[in-house]
Amino acid sequence: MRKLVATLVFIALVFVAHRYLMPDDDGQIRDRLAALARAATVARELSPLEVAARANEAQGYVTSTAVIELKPLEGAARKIEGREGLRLAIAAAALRFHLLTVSFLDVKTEISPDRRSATAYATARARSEAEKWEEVIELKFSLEKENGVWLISRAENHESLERR
Amino acid sequence: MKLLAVRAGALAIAAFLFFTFVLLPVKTEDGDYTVVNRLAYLRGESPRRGDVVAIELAAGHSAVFLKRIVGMPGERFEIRKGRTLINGALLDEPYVKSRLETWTIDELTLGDDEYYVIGDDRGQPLEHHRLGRARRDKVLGKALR
Repeated sequence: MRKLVATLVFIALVFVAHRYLMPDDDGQIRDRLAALARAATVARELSPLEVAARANEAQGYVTSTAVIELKPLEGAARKIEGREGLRLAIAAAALRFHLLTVSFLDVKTEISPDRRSATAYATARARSEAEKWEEVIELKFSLEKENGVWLISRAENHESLERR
Repeated sequence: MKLLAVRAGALAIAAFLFFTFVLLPVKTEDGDYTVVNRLAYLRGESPRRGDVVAIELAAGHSAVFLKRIVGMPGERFEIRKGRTLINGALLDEPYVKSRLETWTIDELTLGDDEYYVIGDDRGQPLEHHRLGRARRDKVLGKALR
């Protein structure tokens, strides 16, 4: 019995270690999106250097020609183009919000058969406790694999409920 | 001690299964929490008009839309001056908390597995409200309020 339990624990550990050390495409995309969310989490109290570091990190998750079009439920649509546009958007958010927390509650990926491109659907939550504001929106990411790394080429709103 | 551990493990597994397949705690789009009865429509029962249901999002169900069913499969649905019309007839909606007369959605016909869902608070402009067709397989269950 003990041998069986030990074997099962060992197999589970190997499985977890394999998933952690050598994630598949799905795992890599999830890791990238989680890292992007962390980089987009900013606060007014962060030093300019920290904000710049996070904005620079976020730049590394998108292609040079990436387009991010976001339409919050209330408020004007926002279009961010390229890496520089993303850097400026994160810097602006750091100035505007006392603390802006971004997280992805769920992520679902669809990887193309050639494993060079992918689509990811995410339930994103942006929250600012000081401003008593929270919004959950659905996002659709288009990703491309460049030099073995998944980069976001497009991000836009996704609507599960179809009005028309 | 060993028996206690086995019982605790069994209890934890039972609780996990219960809160996954029977009563699913979910977070709504507004940041609130509710519980969804996943067995409500399993025994051949279909969602009914007026039911408040949880709609699964594209990425999963950690957060859901909590909406009321107003249009049933195959029906013609329309909103004119804030009022809902089903197959051309005005729908009585006592649950609506507030409404704007500016809401207009041209007539559309729902598919065989589609429901039209809307929230009860219709006091915001239409573009600030999430509403629309939801496929049957996206209805997670009936919300317990």
